[in-house]
Amino acid sequence: MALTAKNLTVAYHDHAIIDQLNFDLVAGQLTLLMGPSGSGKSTLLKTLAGLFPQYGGQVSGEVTIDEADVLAMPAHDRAKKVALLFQNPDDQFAMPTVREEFIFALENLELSPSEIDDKIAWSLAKVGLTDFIDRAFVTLSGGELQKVALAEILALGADFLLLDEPFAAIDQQSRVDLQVLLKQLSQEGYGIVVADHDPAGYFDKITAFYQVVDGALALVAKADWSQYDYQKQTVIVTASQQDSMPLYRMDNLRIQNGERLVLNQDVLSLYEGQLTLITGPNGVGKSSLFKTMAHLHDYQGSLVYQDKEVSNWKKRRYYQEVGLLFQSASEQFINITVEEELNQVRKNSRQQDYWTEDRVSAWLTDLNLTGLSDRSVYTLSGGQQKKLQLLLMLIIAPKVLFLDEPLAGLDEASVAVVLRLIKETQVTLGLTVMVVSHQTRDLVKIVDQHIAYQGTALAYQQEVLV
Amino acid sequence: MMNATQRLLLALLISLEISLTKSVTLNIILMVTSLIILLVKRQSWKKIGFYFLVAVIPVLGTFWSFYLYGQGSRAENLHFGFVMGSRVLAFIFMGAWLTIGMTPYVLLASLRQNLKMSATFTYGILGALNFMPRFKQAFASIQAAGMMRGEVLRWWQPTLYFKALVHAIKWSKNLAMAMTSHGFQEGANRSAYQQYPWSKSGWVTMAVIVLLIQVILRLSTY
Repeated sequence: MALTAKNLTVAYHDHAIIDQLNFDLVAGQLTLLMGPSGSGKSTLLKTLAGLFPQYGGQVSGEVTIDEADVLAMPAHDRAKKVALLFQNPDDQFAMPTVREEFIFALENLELSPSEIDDKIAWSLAKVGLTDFIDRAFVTLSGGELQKVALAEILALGADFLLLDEPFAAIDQQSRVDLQVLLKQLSQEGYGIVVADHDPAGYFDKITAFYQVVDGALALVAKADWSQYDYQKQTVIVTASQQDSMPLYRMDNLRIQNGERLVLNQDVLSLYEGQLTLITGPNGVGKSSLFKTMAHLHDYQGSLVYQDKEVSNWKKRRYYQEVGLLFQSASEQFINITVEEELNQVRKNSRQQDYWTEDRVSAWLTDLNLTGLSDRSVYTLSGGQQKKLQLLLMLIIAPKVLFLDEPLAGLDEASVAVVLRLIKETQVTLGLTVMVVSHQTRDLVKIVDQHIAYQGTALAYQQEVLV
Repeated sequence: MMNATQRLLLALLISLEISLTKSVTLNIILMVTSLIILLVKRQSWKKIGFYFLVAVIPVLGTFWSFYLYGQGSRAENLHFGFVMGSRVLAFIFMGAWLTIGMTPYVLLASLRQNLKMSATFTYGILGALNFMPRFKQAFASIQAAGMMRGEVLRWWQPTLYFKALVHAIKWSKNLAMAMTSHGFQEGANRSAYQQYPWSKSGWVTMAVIVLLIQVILRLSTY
């Protein structure tokens, strides 16, 4: 039994994301797909799961399971063969509780009540969550949500499981548990593809490894896997915090993400005028930390900004000094066209003298964003959105700027320009910048300080693993 | 016992009846009966208190406006004020009766089976209800994004709603994809885990209640 893609091309607005791709997934395989954000991993998996072209994109070529056309199958037949586990655990359940969700899915397959009961019990047992049957989704952690989502597609009877960055929002232990579970499932005969940008923990479990390159898949020979399981190198970041003032002070700060405690911090200060990199494993709670510091998430204990508790700052005043670069670029936009956005930030810049028209247009040229003035920001490519978003926030130039994954989805050339833009602006205007990013190898070139997660606490560290 | 659809039908029928009649007695009886059912079914005092709280302003408001500004004689206006005020009370408490032990899921599933409502519509509504809590968060984040760029977005400004709409479209597309991936096909047959059949005793109960209401209307003088 095999899931096969032949000459598959998927395009948005006539721009091919997947280009003449050929791929076979045989039952019993556990395949890893890697590639930078925006390389088309998601698009490929959604197409293999039969969701495109129904939900966007132009598709040519074919996707088949044992000769049957996946793209033409009705959803209730397809779900019995192939199913997708989505990146965001919050978006994949139509019902509020585990039981209701499973009933919804299994009713789609026209199963009888007793068959439904059996399938629910069997699949929840498979992921080790038998007791969760009557839990509401809002009470589950990211890892539990993904396990339930996995159980749901097992219950539907799919033989081919496609997982789109399933670990993006979950903690380290759940990641390890799920990887082991995937290995077991593949040994039982399921065909599994996992897309991930972090290769950690896979190489003793997978049977095949592909890189997504230019819209196609490049098979990586087993002998070369060790190169990707890169031996991390240590880079020393010199600390020079003595000559600057503390800007934030954490004291017994605790942050919850749903049910889970993601930060439990003793005393720690963050210093003015520095570019600080914060690193930690996937799902450790870095985004929650930034949201908390940006006054968008509740906390217990103390977090003081400029001698005043963050929770006591009036938001309007606080945001005159503090800005957050959201992980999703579209959340940052408030106008429609690129030109409107640029005009808005120039008018409201805290550093109007610095951001002259010439300077802005020079950076637009360097960022390769010229000629887009009349375009809607929502129709730009992911990379263009990210670059524009960053430029907008740097033009606003708040005293403190939190950057959540500023390099996500950028190609190499753009990364170099963006790093230069961040560093030059930060140094010249004396901004305090804090960055969370997976791309530490690039960022380490421009950072002044490094703070690392140790369990659920933060600590300064001179060494950065890149 | 009536099923969810029958309960909804009965509530609509009674609402229509009291909208077309002017009996304070009937309205009060309906309200008191609903209240007794709420108490028998052990609804929390907090909840019942909340219903009264919700009722205060509309009840007094309608009463005073019809009493003070009615076109008839003083006695007529007083009567009409009482009719309108008690009508609001009856509506609120009948609504409360309707929701006892009934989740949106049960009501929609029952309507789908009994009245052949489309599954797409049913699950669309349920999906939207699940999104509600996330909207609050989205609004806060949109307003923060505005303030970070020196713009205070007030609730009357279209930008806020435009952005909220962008979020909603993204969520609904993701949810629709997840539903498709979980085997939901528009227009296809589905099985039903739980049956919500029309209940014969429910029809009898409805008929008895409607008859009783006619009797009360006959006998009541105010």
